[in-house]
Amino acid sequence: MNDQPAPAIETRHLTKIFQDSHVRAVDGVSLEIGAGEWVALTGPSGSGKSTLLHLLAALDEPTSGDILVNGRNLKSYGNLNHYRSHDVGLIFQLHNLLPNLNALQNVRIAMVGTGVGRRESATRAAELLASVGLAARTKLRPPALSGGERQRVAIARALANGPSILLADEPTGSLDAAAAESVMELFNRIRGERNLTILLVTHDPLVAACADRIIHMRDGRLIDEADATPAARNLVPPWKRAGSQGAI
Amino acid sequence: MFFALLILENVYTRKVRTLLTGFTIAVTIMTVVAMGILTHSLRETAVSILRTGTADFTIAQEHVTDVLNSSIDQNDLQVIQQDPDVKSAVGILVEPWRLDDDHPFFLRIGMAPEDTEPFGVTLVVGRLYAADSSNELILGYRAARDLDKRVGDRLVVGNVDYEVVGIYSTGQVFGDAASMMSLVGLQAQVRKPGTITLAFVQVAEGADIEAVRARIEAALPQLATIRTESDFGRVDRNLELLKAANTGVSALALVIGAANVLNMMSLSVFERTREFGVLRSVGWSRIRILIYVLAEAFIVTLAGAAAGVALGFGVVHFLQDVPTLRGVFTPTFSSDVFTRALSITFGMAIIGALYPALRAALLRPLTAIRHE
Repeated sequence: MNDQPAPAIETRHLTKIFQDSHVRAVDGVSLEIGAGEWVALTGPSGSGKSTLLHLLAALDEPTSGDILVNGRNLKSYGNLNHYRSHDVGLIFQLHNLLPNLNALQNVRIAMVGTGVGRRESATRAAELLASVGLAARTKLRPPALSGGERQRVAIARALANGPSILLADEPTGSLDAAAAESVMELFNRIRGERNLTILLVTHDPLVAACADRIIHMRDGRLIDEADATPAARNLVPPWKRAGSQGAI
Repeated sequence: MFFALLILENVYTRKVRTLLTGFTIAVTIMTVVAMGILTHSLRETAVSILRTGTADFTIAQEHVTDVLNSSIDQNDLQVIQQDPDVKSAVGILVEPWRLDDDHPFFLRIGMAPEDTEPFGVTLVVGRLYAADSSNELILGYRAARDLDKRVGDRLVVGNVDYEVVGIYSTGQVFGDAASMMSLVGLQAQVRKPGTITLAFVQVAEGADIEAVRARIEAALPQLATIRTESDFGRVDRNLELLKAANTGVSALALVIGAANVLNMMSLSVFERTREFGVLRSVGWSRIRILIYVLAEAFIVTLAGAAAGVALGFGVVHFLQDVPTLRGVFTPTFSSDVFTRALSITFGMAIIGALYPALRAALLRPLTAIRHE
């Protein structure tokens, strides 16, 4: 009998072929990510890393193969809405906040239809925004927030229903270096507080260096770490540098 | 609750579009309400004259454009009176006259004085005209008030200078805004001797009304008996045409309104494609997206319709004072008109918003999120 806990994320021979272009964006990928692990997924443009992330977020359907999240196959979900709202939190490069809603409302939309009451959703959204350092910015709409602040709102929204997995697609791609560093520090802190499993797609070696493990992709396949660019391995995350407070 | 607030927020955020769409819907519903009330009121007024008195049914010439154009030979009245089950048959001649700009449709009703009581006329003040009088009349109390006439005053109608000898009431708008005079006198004046417009029939107690009607229509096929409102179309095609026009306007309103809602919601869904993708990515179901879009359309449509009903009332109020309709048209606010307006409103919202709402709901999350 195997008493080992199931990996937080597991893919088995996962393949995605785009029907219109016949491109094998993800080609037989099998990987395991343990609970509480932070993994960075890197690779050149078109390597299939975002496609893999979208498959894991159930935003797209694989052509073949399996995805198991906390031991459960996504194919066994009759309704993926619950999976999207409760099991994973998704963060995009362009934050994708609704411009006509304020920060608090943008977080609350993730709780619509989940059975969370009106007051509780408002309280929880305010607490989440406070935890990402935006307690005083809850009433502001996205156009009034900086890029880094918008991404923090998106992070708060991703955490709204207490997922165990955070999937982030280039979350620092549209931020300057300081804001990117600050967002990475936030990722590190919330992972510690919530024991989150994080899978983060990035081009940035410095951002990749923040992860426990770096997975490289090329042409839709995972490649050996040894074949990847060595740059990331020599970088140090901001909270490990001398003089860092490890907080935002 | 927050979901409802989100919907309202979306409506509020797109103020200009909401106002323009709401305005179009308001104008559409205003037309439906005004046209509906006008048609209903005109029909009510016209039908009311056929219901005056204690008659069991009314007789008019069949297939005339307007019931007032009906022409019945007085000899036919005698045929009707001879039916063993007919208790009484009263004939009247109705002649409209343009008194002045404010009273373009003033009615003169010629009737034998002994028939006024069974016809349902109650003399309020004064006396009845003489049976063979050519210059005496009694005025309905509405007409007397409107013309500021009292017993003893004189009123020139056509080229006849009448003396007002009494004021009467019938309980019907049409009758109370008219005048009554000797049947023989009016027939002579309008050169229609031996002719009446309508006949009012009362059957003997216990007699089969439908059987009497059938016998009359068989004996006098040029005539139609009218007992119910639905029979009215047989003797007045104008109102039937008006009713048909009203139905046409309603259908057109539905199409125009739905097209506007479709236009607004299609544009809105297109602009917000990425938003729907985000909402799907955070776990919103397709049904919730569908409701989200439909509810938005319903709010705009209902708000527009509410304004439209208010505007409709305003238009009806205005029409009431239009000289050509004064005295003929008294608004009656039927629940049918509002039911129709409400049905059209819901129809506009559903037909107009269903396609965009389905489109939003069926978007693939990833495709929607990538939408530029």
